[in-house]
Amino acid sequence: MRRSCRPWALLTIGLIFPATLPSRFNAASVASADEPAAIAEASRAGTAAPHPEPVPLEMPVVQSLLATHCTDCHGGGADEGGFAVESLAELSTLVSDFDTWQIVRQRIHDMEMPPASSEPIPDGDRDALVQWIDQAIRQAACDPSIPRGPAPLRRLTRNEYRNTIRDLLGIHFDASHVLPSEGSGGEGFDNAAEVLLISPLHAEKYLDAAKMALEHAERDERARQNLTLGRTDRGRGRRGGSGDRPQESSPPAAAEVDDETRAHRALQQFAQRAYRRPVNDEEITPLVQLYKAARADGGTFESACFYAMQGVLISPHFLFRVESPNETEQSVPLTDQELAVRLSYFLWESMPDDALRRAADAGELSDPEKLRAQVLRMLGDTRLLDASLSFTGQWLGTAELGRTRFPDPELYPWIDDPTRTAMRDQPGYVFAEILRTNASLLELIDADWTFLTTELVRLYKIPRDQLQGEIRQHLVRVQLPEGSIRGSLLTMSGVMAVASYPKRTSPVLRGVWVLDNLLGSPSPPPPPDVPLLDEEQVESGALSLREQFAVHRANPTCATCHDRLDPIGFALENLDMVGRWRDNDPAGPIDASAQLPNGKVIDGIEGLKQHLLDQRDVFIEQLARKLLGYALGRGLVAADLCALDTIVQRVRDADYQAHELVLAIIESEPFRTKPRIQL
Amino acid sequence: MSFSISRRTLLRGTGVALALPWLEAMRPVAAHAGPAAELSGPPVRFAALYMPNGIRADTWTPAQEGFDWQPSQTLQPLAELRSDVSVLTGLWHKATNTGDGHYVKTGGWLTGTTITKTAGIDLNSGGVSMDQLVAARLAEITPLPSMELGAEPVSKGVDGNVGYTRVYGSHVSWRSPTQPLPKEINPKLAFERLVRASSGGGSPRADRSLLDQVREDAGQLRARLGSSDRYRVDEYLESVRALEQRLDRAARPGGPAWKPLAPLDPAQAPESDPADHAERVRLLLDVIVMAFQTDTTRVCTFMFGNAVSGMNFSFLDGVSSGHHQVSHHQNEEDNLRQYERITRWHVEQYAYLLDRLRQIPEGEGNVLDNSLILFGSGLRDGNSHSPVDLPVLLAGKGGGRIRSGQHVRCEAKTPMSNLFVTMLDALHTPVDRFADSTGAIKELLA
Repeated sequence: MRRSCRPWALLTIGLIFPATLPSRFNAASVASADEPAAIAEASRAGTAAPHPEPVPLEMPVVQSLLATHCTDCHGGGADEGGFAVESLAELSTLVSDFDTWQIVRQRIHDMEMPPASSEPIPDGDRDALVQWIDQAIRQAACDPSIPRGPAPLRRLTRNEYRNTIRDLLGIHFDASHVLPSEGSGGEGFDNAAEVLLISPLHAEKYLDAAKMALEHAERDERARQNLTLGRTDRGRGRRGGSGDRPQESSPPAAAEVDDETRAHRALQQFAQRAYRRPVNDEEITPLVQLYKAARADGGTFESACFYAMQGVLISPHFLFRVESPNETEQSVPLTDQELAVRLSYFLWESMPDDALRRAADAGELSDPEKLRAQVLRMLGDTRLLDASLSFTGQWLGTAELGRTRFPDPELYPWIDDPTRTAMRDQPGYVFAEILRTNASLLELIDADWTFLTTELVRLYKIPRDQLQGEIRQHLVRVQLPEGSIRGSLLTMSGVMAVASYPKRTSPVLRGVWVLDNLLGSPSPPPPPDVPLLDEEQVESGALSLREQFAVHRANPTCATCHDRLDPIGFALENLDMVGRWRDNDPAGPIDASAQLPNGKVIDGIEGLKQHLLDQRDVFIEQLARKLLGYALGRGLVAADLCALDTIVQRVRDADYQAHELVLAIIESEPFRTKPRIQL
Repeated sequence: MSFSISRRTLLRGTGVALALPWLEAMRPVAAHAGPAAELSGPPVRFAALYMPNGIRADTWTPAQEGFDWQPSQTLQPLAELRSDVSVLTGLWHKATNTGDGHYVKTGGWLTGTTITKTAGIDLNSGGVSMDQLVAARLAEITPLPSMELGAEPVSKGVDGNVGYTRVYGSHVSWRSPTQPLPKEINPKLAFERLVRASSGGGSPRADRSLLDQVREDAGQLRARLGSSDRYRVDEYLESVRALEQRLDRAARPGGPAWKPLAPLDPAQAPESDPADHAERVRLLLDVIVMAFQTDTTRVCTFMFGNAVSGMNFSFLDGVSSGHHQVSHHQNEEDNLRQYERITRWHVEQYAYLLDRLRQIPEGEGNVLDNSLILFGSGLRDGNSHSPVDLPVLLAGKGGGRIRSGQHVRCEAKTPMSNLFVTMLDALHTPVDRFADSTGAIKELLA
């Protein structure tokens, strides 16, 4: 434990309890004198104090808290549910009984324990315990001897498949639409290896998709030539981007060699790009056999090549991202080629391009400076947008617009497909821009610019004469007028649409959305038999939403959570179900201010922005956790929390600049290494 | 987050070797007797229609029992089909009376087991779903062993409030405890798959050569991997094998075991991706009709929506809410009214499917007579999430093995698995036991 690479810093917060919770926050505010004063009263979810004095850990304090509140059922001989607090008496249990600690944390945090029939834990004690467990576990996580997270074999996701086929074949064609739709796991992304399932249907669908894509490529003059001549990276034909991706030297003129040699070369070139690694002759020979069989059946040179390419596109070497197994006892660094593949699927959701592949082949990615240069180059490429849309859409839930969520067609008949698409994609464009320009990540919360289309300008009712530059049918960056609220994830139409019910807004849904997605503090589900709102009364305006909620929160069972959720939601009440500004709801003028349990008042959208900025480190940690989970394509394990701390620290030290987040993730141990395989 | 080796890893660790004996144990007792004799004659089909979010309890259960049952308010759409449909009261899945309010009750709907709480790494339903037992039994008979359809794409994300991946709420068919089957949501793609399957596809010989190549690649790759990764490659190999079998069956001389009454007409292809939910549901139900009529498959599951579906039903008169939202009615009259209307809409769709199947003559009767079409939800009252007294409807006579047209009131808390055992028997897939079953439901036996 004490070998931890992390200072004891974070543990101090929990150590001052139990008696003096307020001083806990005072301590934090003193420690962060260089931060805005408001940070001192940051939410109970907790703002990590940046640099407190190290204080040794005092497990007995934790034990005494657990003893006070839990031993009736879980101690002194009682072990209901098979759990007794004595089993966690030693610090070493943070590793050996990690799961138990997590469950204890969850039960206490979700207020499932102590049960309603028992004496409740005072809020301060509860928060302190949860926070201590979080931080103690994190400390344990930095012990180098604990198991690393897995690096499992993974098939391409639908999105990755679509982008990879596009870049591999050089065509604009979505071959993924025939593939089964996918769920997600881990940190909530579809690339979580554990849920990338294979069903009996998949081979059939992959064959379908391969045929359709290759038929498309065969009909496309440029793609056909490039592929059958074994040229690379040409004809991607995407707008913008670096645009200067060099080509490999052209092969000798066709006339010089016979068809079979040409086919061999084309298939070799194709296979090594498709498999994202060098291929040997043993792998090419069977492909050439396929080519020859097709020629023997009367096919042309080109059609026979394309037939053999079907074989490549349904090969597991293409469909799966393969890393060579690590049979040593420790984690080892990835090979350069493996690292290139992780990089490209993280930043582009697609295969490496020529430049990245060449850098990997030359061993340049092992050089920190050259790796950094590659990353910065990739952040400037238009393909970044693919990954950003995918990440942001899944993180915020906005990807569901047009998938499972639709603005109510009766209320919003004017929201057509282009409008809905713009609503869906706006957050992803903004995040990509922040990454590309190395802006502050805090501009996700508060910026003076955003991305708009003509439809969104209308939706947001921004006077056209206050906007400079041309507004188009597709999303473009726009400088917002002074005082505009629109430079924030919080006010985006797509976000409001997924955090509302079809026919009314919901402060609860919005509060949950902010806590879940931006602050990483999910709320427990409502207990059974909670009284719901009377829709009729809300819609008719007989009772204002706020009056209804007041009734609701008078119930102490409800109040514990809703006191935290509702003020956040009320701050957004000036935005309707699709994010349009309104001064009134059916009951009358909207009052968008509300008080948090700690007395802090959140007043409207600007107040909410400030509330989040006051907790910037909680927000950044949540963003970093999500992006790390996405980059790794799996749920985080305890050992990853150590890397996460380093990442957050680096971002904070770099004044929240976006490049630092990406670089810190890429340079983190879990991203750069692979653990020992499970034999 | 977990330090411990997951159950799933253990299963992977021994790969198929461990998984198979388990599957063998679950395998129907008559599986090795050979399909020939008892499977000749008109086929018996099975479909299960899953509705999310439960029902309004006080308007569901008919007052009368036995063959004289009269439709309750919600079951009104079945008035004309009364003699073809049975209502079952008193069933439950004990194993789903735990965990959360929805995911446990969806993932376990056709398995009768408890799913493992996980964000993904330990994904495990605890059992094979009953439709897949039938599919395994009939796999050699029809071009497609089974077909999984749904009107909503898989729900994304992990439900952070309860700690389950939404994968559980998006699948009811489990080929193995760790392998949920994806559903087709696009009516046109589903239809095209039927056409291809029944005709053998464009170029079976060329496709076979490609698949041979893939199997070699996969074999080489497999040898280089750790066991946990081998598991995935094995799944892909199985998938390749399934495609090969389909190609082989299509090429088999002598044609299919059952001569379908109607070939598929490619010109009937439905609209690709209808924006309208009601339209999508109808088109997908039509695909089921075509699949059964042409004997392209005999096993189908259909999900009207995923667990916790917030589908906006404001296209129904008097409904202004999302489905899940209104299912938390809290006994407010207006909510209950909307909830009932949404549930009844689902029953209307069920009635539509039954009526279409009934109109297709086959042998002495019609396709519905030779089918068992199940309709239900994983919970009863959406407000309390109770899996006690599940809403269950069963239509069709199962080729004469099932007595239809009655309201059967079982003893309270009778295992729903008893119904599955009864149905599996009629579906030529007899099992001694399924999940927590204690016997057949005798009233249903013809």
